[in-house]
Amino acid sequence: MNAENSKAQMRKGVLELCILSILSRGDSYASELINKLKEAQMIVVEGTLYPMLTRHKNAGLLTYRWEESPQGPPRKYYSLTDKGKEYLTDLDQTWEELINTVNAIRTNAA
Amino acid sequence: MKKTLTVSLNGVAYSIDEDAFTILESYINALKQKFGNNADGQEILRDIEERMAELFAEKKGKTESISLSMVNEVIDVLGKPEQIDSDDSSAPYEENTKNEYTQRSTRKLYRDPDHSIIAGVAGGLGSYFNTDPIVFRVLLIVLLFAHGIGLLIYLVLWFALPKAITPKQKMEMKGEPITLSSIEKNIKEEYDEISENIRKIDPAGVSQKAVGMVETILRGIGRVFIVVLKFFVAAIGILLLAGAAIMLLSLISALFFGGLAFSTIIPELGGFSLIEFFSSVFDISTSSWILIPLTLIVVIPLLTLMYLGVRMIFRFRANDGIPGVFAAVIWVFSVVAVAIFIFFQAKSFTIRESNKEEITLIPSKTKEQPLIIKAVGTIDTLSFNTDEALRFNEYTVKVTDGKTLIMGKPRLTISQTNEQYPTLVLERRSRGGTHTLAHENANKIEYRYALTDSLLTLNPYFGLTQGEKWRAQELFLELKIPVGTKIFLDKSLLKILAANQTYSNLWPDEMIGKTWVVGHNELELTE
Repeated sequence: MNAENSKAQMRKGVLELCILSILSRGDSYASELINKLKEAQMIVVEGTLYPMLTRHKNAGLLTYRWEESPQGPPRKYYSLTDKGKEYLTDLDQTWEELINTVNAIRTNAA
Repeated sequence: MKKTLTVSLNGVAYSIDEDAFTILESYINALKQKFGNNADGQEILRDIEERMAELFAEKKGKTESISLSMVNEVIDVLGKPEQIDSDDSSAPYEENTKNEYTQRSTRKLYRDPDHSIIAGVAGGLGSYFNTDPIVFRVLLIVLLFAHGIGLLIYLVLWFALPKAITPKQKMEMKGEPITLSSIEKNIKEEYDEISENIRKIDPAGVSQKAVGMVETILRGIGRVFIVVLKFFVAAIGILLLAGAAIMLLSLISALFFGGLAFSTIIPELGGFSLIEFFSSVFDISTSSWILIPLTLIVVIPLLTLMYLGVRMIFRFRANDGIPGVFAAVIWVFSVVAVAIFIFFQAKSFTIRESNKEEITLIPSKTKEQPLIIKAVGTIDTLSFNTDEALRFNEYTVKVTDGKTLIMGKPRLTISQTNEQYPTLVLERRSRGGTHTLAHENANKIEYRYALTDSLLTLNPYFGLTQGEKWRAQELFLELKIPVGTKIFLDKSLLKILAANQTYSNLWPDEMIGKTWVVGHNELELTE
């Protein structure tokens, strides 16, 4: 078993939650999202982000609009829809529960 | 030296090194494979390209073009297809990943420039059959002594096989699957090989020396072969160029000046120009434009030959596709134009008509004197020096004062009649577009004869009115002589006597130079 692989799997599981959380604090574009996620070491390769954004957009959780950028071509700004906010609340709740139960299990086991 | 290309990423143009481009292209293709070609996949790809453009803009800074290392860095940042999670995504993605984004290529036959002695044919064959090229080299050299079949095979393969230039082609040649990592591996191998080659220059071990010797000898033979081949190609080029140039010059001089060059090839044409010749048959005066396509039909292939010759001598590459197609199209149009022209011209040959004219000849002579019949061209206008004219079978064409004069040979038959006086029947025949025209054309056949005392002089030629076109005009002369009349047939008659005499069973050469008495059924010799 490879520990790196397990870590990656864990991060992957919560990546969706992270993206939606960032967007809940304000609209953002891909590069900005990437920078934040990279700081937090949530993603290894950037390519992962794009299919995820597209999928969430298709599911109606996200929308985007084009906005002029100070330099270069216009950017896609993503924002959370109402449905997305509901979805995020749901995820947040699960996350809280997960932390608690996982911690409980960990401390018990230790 | 590095080749650079230009790519457009997210609407911004970038210069990119060729090797970097190869990697980038296969990377993008791999992503396309991964995400699929549906609307979603395209959107994802657009997003990634956008990001790519951003990253390149950052990395490039002030450098001129995107290098291989930049591409590799960007790929590391964005992630290789297998690193990118499409995690809980729908089934199609899964399928795509299972399917791999690789295209398993079948081996293709190329010429291998990296392992070449002459043109890389054996190297390419070696790669294709996964064997040492030396096998094919030896085989080809052995076959060289079998009536040079080896040489033929080599030359055919040389011209037929493309050279493997790009990394992709080189991998197809080796039958390697084309994936991002394999291309990278390949490029790396190439660098390694170059550095290895540099190391090889150092003196090698004894065993390697022997192999090296064979290789050096083969390489030497290869060089000599190339030099000889180049020489032959250049020689053929010079021949082509010179031949086509001479033909072109001859044509021009023949068309417009009836020049010397042409008359050396076809002596009968003499100082006659082709334009003059054409104008004697075709209605060229009313449609002289036909000379343009007519000239082009011949000139275009000649110029092509000259161009090929020049290319073979100087061996340059040129982007001659479009002018070539252009020339071919013009040539085809010229052929069509001439064909249509000839078709309409041919219409004026469709109808055939003939007129008959009977002339009674009253010679002033005694019964005992024979009627002397001669064929000489000294009577009035239809006499000329035929050496200066152009002759085609039965016809002679001559140009005087810009007008063409066409003359033909009449056909004379001699027969008997019960009338008191000899009769000359002139049957004029011609072709034309309509019956009326054919009649008119026939009437324009001019014929001269003269009867003085007991001498009948027939002109050996009939003529067409000045400026008349050739319409297969013919003139049949029938000389009807009263039975019992003595006639002397001069030797000059041989020119016009028809071979098939209806009345007499004699051949023309048996008839001439003798005095005959016209009998009821046959000419009879006088004692």
